[in-house]
Amino acid sequence: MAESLVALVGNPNCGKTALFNTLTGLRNKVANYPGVTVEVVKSELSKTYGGNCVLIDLPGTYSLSPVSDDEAITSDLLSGASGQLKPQLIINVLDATQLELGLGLTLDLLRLGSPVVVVLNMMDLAESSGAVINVDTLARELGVPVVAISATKKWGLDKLSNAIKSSISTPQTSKELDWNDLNSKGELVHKIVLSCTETKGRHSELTARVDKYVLHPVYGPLILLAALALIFQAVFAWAAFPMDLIEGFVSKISELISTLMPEGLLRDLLVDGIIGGVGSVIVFLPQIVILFSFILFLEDFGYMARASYLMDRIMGTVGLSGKAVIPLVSGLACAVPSILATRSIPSKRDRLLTMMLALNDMFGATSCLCAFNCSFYSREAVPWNESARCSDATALRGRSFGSAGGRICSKGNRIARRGATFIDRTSSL
Amino acid sequence: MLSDAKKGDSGQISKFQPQSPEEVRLVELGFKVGAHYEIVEEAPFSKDPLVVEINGVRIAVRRFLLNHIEVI
Repeated sequence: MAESLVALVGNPNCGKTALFNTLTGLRNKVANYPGVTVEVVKSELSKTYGGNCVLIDLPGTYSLSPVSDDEAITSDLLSGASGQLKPQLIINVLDATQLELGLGLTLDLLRLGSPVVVVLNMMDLAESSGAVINVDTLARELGVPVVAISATKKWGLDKLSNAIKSSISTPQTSKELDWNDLNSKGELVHKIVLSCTETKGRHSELTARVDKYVLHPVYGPLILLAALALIFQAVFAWAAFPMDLIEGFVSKISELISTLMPEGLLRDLLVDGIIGGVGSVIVFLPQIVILFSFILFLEDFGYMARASYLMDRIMGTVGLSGKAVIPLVSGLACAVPSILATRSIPSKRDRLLTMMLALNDMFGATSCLCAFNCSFYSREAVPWNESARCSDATALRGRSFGSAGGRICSKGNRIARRGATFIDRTSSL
Repeated sequence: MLSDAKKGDSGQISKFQPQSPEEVRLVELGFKVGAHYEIVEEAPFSKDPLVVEINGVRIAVRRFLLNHIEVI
């Protein structure tokens, strides 16, 4: 039975989940964008790392004074405010390439009084960027064990397991660190960073050179437009081929079963219910995979942040941040991946607003239904907007019918082009 | 005030008393007293948001968030 609680805490995107998987032997999905862990994940620590306790992976945070929902979860749990068990040991994961950003949280954690083990993750990246961090000096300054590792390359893990074991058996709390307000905390962090790093890692020359173009007032928006056009083209057009394949495959199977089975309720359940239902969902898979590959790729290169910066003013006029642009553009192809993509927006309010807006995008299936509705109403010459709105409602209803709605949805892309010309014709009547 | 800075300006933060959770976040991201800043880029037309380089990290931020940061 697990007895004690060990918490993994760190900044967003510093490799907590990768480390969590290594420590527990699990394979949770790890992705390189903030907000991957939005819920608390628990698992037993594997025997090699001490065993006999439960490890919890917490959403990333920059401090214990929470700004977003995710951060509130972390700060409540660590202080025991939510009525839960207070963790016996805190493993504080730091991104070694951004030491100064992470140490603020470390100081907050030390103040809680729980034993802390500091883990410097991505040490390999820090070293290759020229920053030499003296682990022993850092440990002396903080008064707690510090271990340098690389969670993805799996080195330094044996040292980590020793540190965890000894910290659980003989808890070690830090010495008194002297800070009262935010400014003195900042100064302390700066002092610690200066004392333990030998060459301060500046951002690379390459970043500065690339930024000259991607943040440029003229080239920047043009590059962004090209990137969005590429994503849109991929999700809208390139995904059509694999989608058709899946659709064909599904209809082949249902045909096959239709011929093999006698007519009746069971056949209808299998063909129309299960195969039709599952088929209408997996047909979106290519779009989802393509869109998320783009998002991960752009996030990995740091372009998402730059795209948000460029779009911020325009999105700001409807009360959103620049991050909403990718979900909204891909929503023109299909609302399903678009709503999934809103995950990367940190604020809950912005996320909901973006989802609402994405639903009103004129995506393929909607325009198909719109054309359908136009044919009903065209005699009374309903204005274009009106019919678009009521077809939106129809689309939602259609989707909730499951297989039938789903199939209309999946065919939407192909019919969309025909639908679009149709709308032009009917609306000009 | 840092919120009045133009592209290419640089200097040091002399006073910052955060008054909102967002401003506290700025301190955590490096906007601390004594930190060296440089305005790398401003958005076209509105000049908002702007990209500030602080401690070698580039941060895009809306101008109104910099209202309480005094600089020299």
